[in-house]
Amino acid sequence: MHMSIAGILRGARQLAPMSIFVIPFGVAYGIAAVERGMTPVQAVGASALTFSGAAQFAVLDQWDAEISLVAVVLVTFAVSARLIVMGAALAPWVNQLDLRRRILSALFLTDPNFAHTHNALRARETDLGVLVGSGAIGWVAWVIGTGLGASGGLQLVDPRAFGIDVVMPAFFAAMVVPRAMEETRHGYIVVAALCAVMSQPVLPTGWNIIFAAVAGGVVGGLSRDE
Amino acid sequence: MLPLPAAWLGACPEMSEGLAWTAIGLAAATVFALRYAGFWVMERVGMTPTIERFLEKLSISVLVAIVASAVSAGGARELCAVVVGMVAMAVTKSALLAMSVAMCVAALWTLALA
Repeated sequence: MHMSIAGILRGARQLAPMSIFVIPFGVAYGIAAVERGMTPVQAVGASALTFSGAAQFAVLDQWDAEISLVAVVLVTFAVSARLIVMGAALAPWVNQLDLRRRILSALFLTDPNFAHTHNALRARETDLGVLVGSGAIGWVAWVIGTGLGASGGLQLVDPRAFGIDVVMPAFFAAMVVPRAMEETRHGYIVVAALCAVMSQPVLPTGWNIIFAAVAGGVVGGLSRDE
Repeated sequence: MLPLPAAWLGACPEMSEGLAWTAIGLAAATVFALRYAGFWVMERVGMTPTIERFLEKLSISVLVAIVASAVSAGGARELCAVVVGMVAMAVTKSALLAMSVAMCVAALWTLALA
């Protein structure tokens, strides 16, 4: 395992087309943040430093003069805890790197570059620059989008009219397809999907994903493929 | 949210620039800690074939869970778009094409109902 500039550029190129669709979500966050009372600089700063739509919208929900810093941490933790699961899944590769490169690997870890890189690593990719690059290109799109939204220069179009709202789930579903096709047993996939849907009304935001992922992991891990 | 007393939650009287940046900084630090936590935990757990299998299935399950949640929060339109996208992926092996097809289905669905 290694990490090179060439790998970073390759990762950025591979996810560049998808990252374009991140911009409208950034715009939506920028508009919402300013409406909620953030300054444009704070909104862009939040996107640049946090780079997590789920966490940032959750914090925005708490945003007022009486904001509780403990609540900020707890809410952020709750909606983003699935990053632990993704980090653990990437750990067999990432932990072969030195500390500095591990930190770099963590910096841009999000759902899309996790999905893309995990598939690439299983297809014998050996350069973790792909993880960093495919994450960094999403970061650029997210920050640009936030800036456009926060500066008030853009009218928000309805993402549903162009189907932009289904891009992310469609991308994740597409990442699952080749993996599912090379396996013979898919019971754990059904378990994960059912657990996610059925626990959604009961568990706090984000926790149904973790519950479903761990349930699928346990069921799949205990069954034998052959 | 947990039913903690307001004093425990560190409620502050007014939103200053300093408080805003502290909140942003704390959220950013929390997310980074979570991003690194998976590596950190697995370094201490150590790899066994069972854990490797668990992580392997976990990595797909987390994506399945995200998709299933999004589809169930949406409805028939989202389900149809995602399923057509998956078929496109199975046939063409192109994620970009799968996303484009799913977008078209969702956009046409909205257009048809408008």
